[in-house]
Amino acid sequence: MKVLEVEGVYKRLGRRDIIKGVSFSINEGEIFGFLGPNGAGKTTTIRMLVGLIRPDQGTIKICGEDVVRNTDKALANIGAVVENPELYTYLTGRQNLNMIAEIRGVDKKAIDEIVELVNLTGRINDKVKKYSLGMKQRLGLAAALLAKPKLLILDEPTNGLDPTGIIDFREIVKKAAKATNTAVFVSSHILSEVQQLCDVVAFINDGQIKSIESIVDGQVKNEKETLVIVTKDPDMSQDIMVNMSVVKDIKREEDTFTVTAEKEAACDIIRELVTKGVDVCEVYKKHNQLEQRYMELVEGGKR
Amino acid sequence: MLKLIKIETFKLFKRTKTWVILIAFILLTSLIGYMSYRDAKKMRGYYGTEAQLANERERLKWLEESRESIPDEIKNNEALVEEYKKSYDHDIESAKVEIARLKTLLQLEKAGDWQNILKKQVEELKAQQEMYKGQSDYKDILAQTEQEIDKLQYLLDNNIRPETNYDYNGRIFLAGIIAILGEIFLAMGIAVFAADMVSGEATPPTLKLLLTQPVSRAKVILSKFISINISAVSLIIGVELIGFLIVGLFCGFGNMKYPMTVGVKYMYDPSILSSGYKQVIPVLGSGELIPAWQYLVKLLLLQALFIIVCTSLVFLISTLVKASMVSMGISVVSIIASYVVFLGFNGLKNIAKYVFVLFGNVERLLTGDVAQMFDNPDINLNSTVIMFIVWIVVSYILSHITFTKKDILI
Repeated sequence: MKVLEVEGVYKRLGRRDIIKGVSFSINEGEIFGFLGPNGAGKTTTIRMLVGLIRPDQGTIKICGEDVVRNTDKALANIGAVVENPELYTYLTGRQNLNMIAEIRGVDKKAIDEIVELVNLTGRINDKVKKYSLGMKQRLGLAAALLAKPKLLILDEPTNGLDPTGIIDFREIVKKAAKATNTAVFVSSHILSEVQQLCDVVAFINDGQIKSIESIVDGQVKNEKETLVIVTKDPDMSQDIMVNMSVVKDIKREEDTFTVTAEKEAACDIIRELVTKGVDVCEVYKKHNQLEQRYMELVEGGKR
Repeated sequence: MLKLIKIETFKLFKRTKTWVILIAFILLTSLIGYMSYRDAKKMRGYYGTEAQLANERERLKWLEESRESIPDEIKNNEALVEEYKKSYDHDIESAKVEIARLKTLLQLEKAGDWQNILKKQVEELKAQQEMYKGQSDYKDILAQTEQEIDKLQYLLDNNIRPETNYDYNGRIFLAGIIAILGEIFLAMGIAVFAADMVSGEATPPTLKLLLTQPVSRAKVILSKFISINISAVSLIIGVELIGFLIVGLFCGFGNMKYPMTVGVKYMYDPSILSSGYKQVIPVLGSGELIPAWQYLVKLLLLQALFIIVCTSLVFLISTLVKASMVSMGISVVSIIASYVVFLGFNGLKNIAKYVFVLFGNVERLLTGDVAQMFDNPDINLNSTVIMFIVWIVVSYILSHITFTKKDILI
């Protein structure tokens, strides 16, 4: 079942077109990564998902409810942390959660469970003012998870978390997705985060989704890869590689080449060089696959 | 909805600022209460019967001394001396009459026999009435005399001791504090109190948390509006009523049936109208008497309405602006500016009648004196209440529209 359906969404803020036609959907239990550089439109998209701003065109449906027309029904299925978790700093963590529980009609017992889950039991009765950024993140996550939503929306959620915090966070989100079949939408500009967490990744840049791909075993399927090759006879190497069909692009810096080639082409290139008598000193893949894909889609394959 | 109002009120009272303002308000109320108590005491020193008697005696002594100390230059002229002495005789005579009157008055007062004092006053007024009767020129004065007689008769009939302008009791404290606070303090206090009701959630942007909950924005803004109004009205009137109880316990509550004049009508002064200059004078004999408890209840209701008007406008500003400091600044400055600009320049009086902040002294509305303030007989209780309600409705509608329609980009 589709939990979130986004269809042809456009948004203009001031004089700039921020979102230029975005469509995607998320299934139950799926962890959806939203990957893009700063200013790509990630946060604007999230604001539209949670009804903070209205799209100029297009529809957003959550569990079948239109976010613009049936805002409250749609929001009942969402738990969200937009940018930094902004909780009421003059209230305690528990008072913040109590408030949400009351609005959403959640049993107060659920608060203790969720607090336990995000590991805030010792500090839940302190004012949020006194929390560290990481604790605020965890409280924000607790607030989002409190009502056991169908869709969990997280905007750069590991900001301010320490390494243990990040690992804990990943466990919590994965557990939620698997145990309660919650769909999760995570925006991020951190590749490794998406790689380790998500089932599907959408690459967004300049207000458009460049590609949506599934991640299997932490990798995406790539058509190209970038190789770095160092040889003893650069002039000759260049001549050989330019004539190979698998090689798409070559850049040379003295005796070091950065070669963009078809996937799995490394063996062919090395064999070709070696048979033609070139001494190959060093060959390695410049990026792992997700990085490679990101560079292609977002940075136009440069670097 | 009720849940949301409860939550908003809970948040409001968890903010330090609320308590700071409340304490400041309690201090201000106590200070004003104490000052008016001291004033009343001082007034008694000047205007009490005993003080008046002492003054009159002093004057008589001075007059008699002056009469005897004949200036040197006329000492030799008998005729002039005679004339000089005569010039004092009249004053001395009237002073003696006054002393005699005050003495009887004091005796009556000491005996607690104010009924007789009242009866005497009624007799005097009736005599006056008799004198002017049938003369169309004195129609107004007759009407006023009639009203005064009614008031005194009411006091007599209900066995209420007449009050003087130096009496002090809970009732007088409450009416006084409502009048004084309304002048500018209430509006300023509310500007500070309510300024961050909405904008306070933009910096830091907790609004994001609130609006991603499954409640419609219309409900959020309405519950905020109701919450801040209920809090403002109950805190202000609550503190005033506690003051009323405290003053009442120490100085008495005052008679709740005491007759109060309300709804005096005004008109342009016909004697100077032709000169092009407009000034209003009360229509003598207009207005009616209501018992003091009714007077106080009406004052409190009017004040509550005024509080809601102030709160509504500040609330609108808070909705339009993103930073709480800015919304507070705009609110405070616009209130001060209204006072300075609209009360300072006579030419703006036509606009000033729509500037609700200037109508904070609700006692003036009830008595009808407000017409005098704006030199406009058309301004009265009803017109002002309508103006208040229009402000409330317009402010709320604008707040609702901005809040429900705007993109939350904070």
